[in-house]
Amino acid sequence: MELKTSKSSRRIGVILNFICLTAIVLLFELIKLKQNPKLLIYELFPLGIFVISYFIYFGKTGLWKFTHKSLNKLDEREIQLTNKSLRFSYFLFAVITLSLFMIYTLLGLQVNMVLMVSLLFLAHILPAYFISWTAKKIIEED
Amino acid sequence: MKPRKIYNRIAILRKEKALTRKDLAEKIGVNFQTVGYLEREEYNPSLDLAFRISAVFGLPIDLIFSTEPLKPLSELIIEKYKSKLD
Repeated sequence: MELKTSKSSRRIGVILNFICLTAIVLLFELIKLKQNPKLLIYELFPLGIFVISYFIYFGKTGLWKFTHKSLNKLDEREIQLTNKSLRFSYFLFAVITLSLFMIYTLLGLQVNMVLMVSLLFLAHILPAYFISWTAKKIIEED
Repeated sequence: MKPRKIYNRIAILRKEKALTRKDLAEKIGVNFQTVGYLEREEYNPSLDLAFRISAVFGLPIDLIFSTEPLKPLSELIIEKYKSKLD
């Protein structure tokens, strides 16, 4: 895991990725309401930014890999850090999912594949969001 | 319970032994970034890790770690020298 970029830059990455993920779900709901499949082409825009931001902020930095590593491959500080991030993610994911399902029920919307895939992805990326948001910039000098 | 800050002499001892962070990390079985966290006193090691560090430097744990700010080693030597003279 390399956190050589500044904290603010990493936070922008988290916000950008989350906004794009939300936009994908919202846009899909709007397209469903309009009943015009041709509008699906507009999904490509947030999807593109989402994929790019994922690779820049979570793929290249190794954050995604780090949060999915086996415990045997982490040292005690890293285990503590992943535990903290998972604890936070578990709480936030429960709040987001519950709120979303309540909104969907109140608006009479049907849960769809895009929402489910987005939620699944969110559950996996939330620990990386937490670390990216909170970790200090690492400058290693000998 | 909020953990107490643990002060240490890892950075100075590592430099004295001419080890890089990566070298020390390999010897104690952690990521080299963790050595940085330990040196900056931003992470308190477990007892197991503290024992491993003391074994690498060949010093007792209480000479490397303390719950109170540590005096520079030179100061300790001067104190010891003075007490011998007295």
